[in-house]
Amino acid sequence: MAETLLELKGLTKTFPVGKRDVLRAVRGVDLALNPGECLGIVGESGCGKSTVARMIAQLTEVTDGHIYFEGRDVTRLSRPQRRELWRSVQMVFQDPYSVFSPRMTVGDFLTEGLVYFGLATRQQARGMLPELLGRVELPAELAQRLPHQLSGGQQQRVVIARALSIQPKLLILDEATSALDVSVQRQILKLLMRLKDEMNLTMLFIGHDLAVVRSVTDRIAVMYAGQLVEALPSAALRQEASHPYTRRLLESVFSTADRGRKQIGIEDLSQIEKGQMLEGCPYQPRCPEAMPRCADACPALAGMGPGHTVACHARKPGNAR
Amino acid sequence: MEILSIDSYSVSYDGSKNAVDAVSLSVAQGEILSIVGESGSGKSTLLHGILGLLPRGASTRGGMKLFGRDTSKMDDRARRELCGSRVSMIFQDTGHYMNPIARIGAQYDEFLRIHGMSDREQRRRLQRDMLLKLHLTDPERVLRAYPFELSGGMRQRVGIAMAMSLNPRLLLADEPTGALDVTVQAQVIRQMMELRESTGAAIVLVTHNIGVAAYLSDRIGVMQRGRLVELGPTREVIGHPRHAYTRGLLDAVVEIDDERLIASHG
Repeated sequence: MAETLLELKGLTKTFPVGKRDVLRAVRGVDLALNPGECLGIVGESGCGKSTVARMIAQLTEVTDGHIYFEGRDVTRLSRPQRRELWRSVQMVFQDPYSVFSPRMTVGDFLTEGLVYFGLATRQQARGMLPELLGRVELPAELAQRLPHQLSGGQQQRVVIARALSIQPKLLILDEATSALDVSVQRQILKLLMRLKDEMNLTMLFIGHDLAVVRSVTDRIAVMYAGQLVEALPSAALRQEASHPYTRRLLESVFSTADRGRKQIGIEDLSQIEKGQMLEGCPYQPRCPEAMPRCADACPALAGMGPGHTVACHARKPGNAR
Repeated sequence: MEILSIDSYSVSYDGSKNAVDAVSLSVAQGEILSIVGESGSGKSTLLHGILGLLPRGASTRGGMKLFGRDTSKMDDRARRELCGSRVSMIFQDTGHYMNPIARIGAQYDEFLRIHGMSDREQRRRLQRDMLLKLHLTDPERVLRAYPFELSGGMRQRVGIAMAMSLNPRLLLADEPTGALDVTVQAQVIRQMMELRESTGAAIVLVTHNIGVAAYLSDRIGVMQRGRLVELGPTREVIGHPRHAYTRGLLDAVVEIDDERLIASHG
């Protein structure tokens, strides 16, 4: 097996709140990503999934813990080192229009990375445009257009093409298809899967839609209030998910198949915000299985089965629910 | 009894193209109708037209009856009197139409007073009861808070509590869960179903989430470029869609038990 491409060890990000309190946006996340793998991170708003991505992409400082890329510690980098890392790590965000400069043509936007990293002259880069656009199934004529003349789906394709133009080793997608209509979303997901195969891409796919994340990933990591609560193979999500929060997320998915049949349990949502301020398990205020222990100590990730880890005091290895 | 009936109703913003194009439908008491479609399909415009919230300059054609009365020729004042406390609307983000510098309690109280509830003690009780009903366990804290002090999910629950306070006969909901986390969305959906059961209100829900529409509604309408291309019982529309566009839309939805899109890995 090839060497791990990316490894997170105890990755932590805290923000001070008032004079004494701290908000644990990300706490002690351990994750590893192998070359060619597609890992998903799911969770609800504020769970820290985007902060993890931003720390990997060097867009936010790490409070504690380490990030290793190809075995090298890249937790704290100087400016030139960061620039070098960006050659290998590219990121795509939710709103494509906000990444464009409104007066810059698609062609100039697309070739900027190649020129910036010295991979091609401006002239050479322009020659590569038909290929770059073709890769994301767009016609070459689009190079002359301005971003507002493109549809949302086309814009996101261009952003993906740009991220891939410099042949990065890791592509991070943060809610990259969340703002798109379902038909466009499906096309972009298929495109990503094709590119992953063709270019042997390693991807980190972050999203809140369980079904979407599951559909394109090999493995899923579930985050709650800054903590990684469960990680398991995507194919086993429905059957083997074990953490009470993951189960709750699954129950909250509305599928066209289960019309009216599903029971929705009542929850007191005023408890939600408290998780990140707690010492113990962040899910404990909402958890139907909470025990006294859960308030005292934060559970650590423990192996449940092949590729399956859970952080929960109520779960013991070997007897998954 | 029919709460709402629309006959060949069109809305145009610029006088030439129809944002809503000859839509006909009706909603009975206690019925939940969902309108699904992609962005730009005209589903929100249709909902705004029902409540008379279209921007100045928009022109409408066709007939619309609310509670049996023709509203197409009514002026704003007459329409307000007709709708009064009988029609409520929930928007995508309740926070957007709250006053940012007034406490939730003050806004909620004003809303009830304007709609004719004169007894102050009764208003207070109703506010507390409604918030509790929406599973906000500390209503006093919520009422004391400013909008920015609440999370989006809590604000949305307050908006829904307000909209449901006066037992509307018709609830119009425009993407009410679009900005919410999935677990919160599930709670809001549950509460809308409870409202229907306890008061017999009719609900028209506009959403792009077909799973939610399938779960909640008795009937589903599908809109594409202003036209209502399909309308039928949920089971029919989901199970046996007639229109090619509906079939395409259903095929595009990524479901949790779908065959995974991922091709090869190892």
